[in-house]
Amino acid sequence: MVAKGGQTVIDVKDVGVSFGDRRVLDGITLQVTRGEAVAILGPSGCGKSTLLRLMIGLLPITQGTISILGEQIGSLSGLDLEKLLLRFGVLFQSSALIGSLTVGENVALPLTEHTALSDSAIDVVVRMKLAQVGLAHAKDLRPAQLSGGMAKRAGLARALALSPELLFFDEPSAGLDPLTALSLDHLIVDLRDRLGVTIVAVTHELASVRVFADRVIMLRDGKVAAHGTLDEVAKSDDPWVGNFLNRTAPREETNHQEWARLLAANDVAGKDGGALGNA
Amino acid sequence: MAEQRFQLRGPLTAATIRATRDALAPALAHARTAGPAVVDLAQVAAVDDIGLAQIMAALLDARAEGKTLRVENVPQDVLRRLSLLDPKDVMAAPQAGPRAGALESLGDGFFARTRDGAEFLGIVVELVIRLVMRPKGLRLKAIVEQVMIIGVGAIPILSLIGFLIGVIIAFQAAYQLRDLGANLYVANMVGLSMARELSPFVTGILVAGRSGSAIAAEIATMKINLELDALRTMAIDPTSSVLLPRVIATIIAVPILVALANVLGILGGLVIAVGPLSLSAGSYWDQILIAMRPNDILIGMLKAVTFGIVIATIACHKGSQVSGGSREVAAATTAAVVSSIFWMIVCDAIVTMVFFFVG
Repeated sequence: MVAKGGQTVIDVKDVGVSFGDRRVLDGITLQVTRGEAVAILGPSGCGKSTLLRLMIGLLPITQGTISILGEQIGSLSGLDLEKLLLRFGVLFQSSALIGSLTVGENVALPLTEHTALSDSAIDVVVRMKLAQVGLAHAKDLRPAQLSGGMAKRAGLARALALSPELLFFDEPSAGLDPLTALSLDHLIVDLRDRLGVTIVAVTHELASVRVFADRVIMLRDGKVAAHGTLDEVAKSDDPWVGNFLNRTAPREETNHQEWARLLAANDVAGKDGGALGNA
Repeated sequence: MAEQRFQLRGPLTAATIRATRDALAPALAHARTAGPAVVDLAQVAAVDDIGLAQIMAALLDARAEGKTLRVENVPQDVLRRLSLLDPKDVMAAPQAGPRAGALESLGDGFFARTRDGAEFLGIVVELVIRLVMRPKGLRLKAIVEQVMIIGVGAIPILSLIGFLIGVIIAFQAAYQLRDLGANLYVANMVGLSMARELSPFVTGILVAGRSGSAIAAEIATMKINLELDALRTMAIDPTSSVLLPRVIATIIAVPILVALANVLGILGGLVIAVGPLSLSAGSYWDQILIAMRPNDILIGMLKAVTFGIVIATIACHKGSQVSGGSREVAAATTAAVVSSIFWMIVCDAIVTMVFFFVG
């Protein structure tokens, strides 16, 4: 899980989370180096969204430590936490644009709240950020008027407002048509290559991962199942990893005769009380 | 005991639900009363999921009662379809969920209210602490915007309601006072009941229905849409930037609306006094001034501020507790209105009683 060379911007050590009896994350350790784009990959329910929420400070860390840009995110509060939050951006799966504000006002929000910029300067920054994601024309639209792809771009423009060093994406291409998803993937690549932004994207879309990810970290049942470049991971000994990457799955079938036997069984006398459910 | 064999025929599909049921009925009846029954599918033409479900239901019913009903000669295509399913998923015995009795529900309702009250006090304390700490996310612009929505937006409808209530009280008072030749005292009735009770209460209910519901629904939707989370990751505190402006705006708006309702109510009374009751406007007004003391207005205003706090904090609380889907937004909105009306009445009773004894 250790990336080669470079400065470590995310350092997750032995992180675990339980919701009630359910162990969602178990001993997660991973690192992300400045300037790389990392995909955290895994099936629905593998814990990757929980891991993301821990890294961006939306869930309290109960076990292990997470260091973001050199700061322990779980132990910060007040102004220290605010300073750290301003150094990274988050694009939510639903974009999470504030519905009562226009697209432009959404992008301006972090600027008006956290900088001493004049209104006209903020307006220029908003135009720049919207142009960066190809949404210059949408400044005065309401979030409800945007298509899925446009909403993602607007959310990205807002995440970029304070020129963050690090960007988190939650399922960037989920719910988008293949071409829109591809254009967003290219945007991610541009951000990494031209602005030097470190990218961490939680996703289950293999097509996107192939476009933007330098490295993948695969999660399964709350544990790291494999890590490395996509090619390295594809050579994993774990058959599940291969199945996931090749979109193959063994089908579990109950034998025909098993069902015939169940339906014809004289189960009343059976030891299991006649409940077929125990078969 | 010998098994009785029941030969099913023809198609068992969605189009033949009744026929399938009628064909299964004797087998099930036999299994229940006489002895083991076998349903033989050798002769059936086609079986779809609906037909299959009917057969399985009969089989499960019989087994649930400890009787024997077996199914034989299941067609190969049916078995092929079944083989995609895990028997555990399909054949589990139906389970009855726990159902609360009427009395239990009543008790739950009572405890829910009590818990609400404790939570409500907790939130008020939290908000006051936040306010004292002068949160930087709290903007005057946001408060003004909310005052416009909650207060100014309610003016037309509240004016009409206030006026009509003044009219109603004047008529109700005159109904009893005219026999005593004391029509002039209509002014006392209108002025005092508006200022001390009806203006705050009616305004409170209107604002709870109009804005309490809107606040709860908006915050709940923001929560579900992760807008509140997005604010947090932008280092913008949702409590200061979203909740507090609404609470403060409601606390500002309700007393102003109550004052307006007072004026319109007295005006409504005046119209009845000079019309049907043949009083002069001057004598009605003089009587209003004699009857109403500053305390009466102040008690009304105290209630207004209390109701504003109740409505806004409960709405914010119910809204921000939502997790899940649209069903919960609806539930939160309903809960916000019902709960705030209940707690307004409780506060109203307390204030009224205290001032009855104190002055």
